[in-house]
Amino acid sequence: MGTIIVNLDVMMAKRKMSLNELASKIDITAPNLSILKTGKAKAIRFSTLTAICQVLNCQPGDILEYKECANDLSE
Amino acid sequence: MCRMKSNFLTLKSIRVGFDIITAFMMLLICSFIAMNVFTIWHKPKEVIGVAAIHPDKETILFNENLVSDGQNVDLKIQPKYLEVEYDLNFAHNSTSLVFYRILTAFTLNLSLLFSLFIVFQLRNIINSVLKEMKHKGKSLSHHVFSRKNIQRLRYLAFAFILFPLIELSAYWADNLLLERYVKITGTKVMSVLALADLSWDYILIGLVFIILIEVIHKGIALQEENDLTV
Repeated sequence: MGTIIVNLDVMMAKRKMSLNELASKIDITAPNLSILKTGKAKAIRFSTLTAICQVLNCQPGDILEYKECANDLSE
Repeated sequence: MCRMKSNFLTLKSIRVGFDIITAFMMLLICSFIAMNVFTIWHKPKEVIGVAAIHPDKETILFNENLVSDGQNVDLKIQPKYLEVEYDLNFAHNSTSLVFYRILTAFTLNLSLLFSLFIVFQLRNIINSVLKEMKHKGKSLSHHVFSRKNIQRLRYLAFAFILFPLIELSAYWADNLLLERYVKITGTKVMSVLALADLSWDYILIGLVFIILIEVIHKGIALQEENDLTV
């Protein structure tokens, strides 16, 4: 089974935006945004994704990426 | 913060209490095991036990009158069976007797073993909560229902279910031995332990425990999912 990689840190670096700044703009707490950034999150609400895309001016595909596992590729 | 500290101290003292009880019970069990091994080793063929003798046709009657201590009360007592002690020391097949004696010794100490297992698991749960509180410093409720503790509670539930089943196996072995070695014409010799005397209610407690644990487990999974939804 593949995994979803969160590239939020890449987009934040491109837009030169800090975690706290983004958190305050999309109205969620910094620890919750950190959970998303570090890939620990189990789910993401559409409302949060919409807000992030709006603030960072990007598409959901710029933030989320699907990656196949090494085992899946060998199969 | 002060409340957390008092909780921590209370838990620590409870754990010390559990430690002492565990050590005492282990000592007791070790001495019982040593005693049983010693007797089985020296007299492997000798079996001393208690059996119930049911007459096939007539009930056993006493020659003397049985008088009640209560005033103005008439009592008619008819015993259904006799409880007798037997002593087997001339049986041919010693391996089955040794197996029977090991099972009987295990069953006699079963309550103690069961209590030790419960005390040990509870001690481990308290210990894990204490460790988590020491390292992460969150409140008590955060650590009680961790995945490891859920597994420990599950073991407790399975112990509750297994307890009467082991008792049942001892009852079955008892009847098997009596059927084979103790035969009295016109009577039925049975184990003194009746089927109804076994702790069947423990199975119900174990099942209720398992259902509760599964509910808590599901609750934790939902809570974790909710916590990690951004």
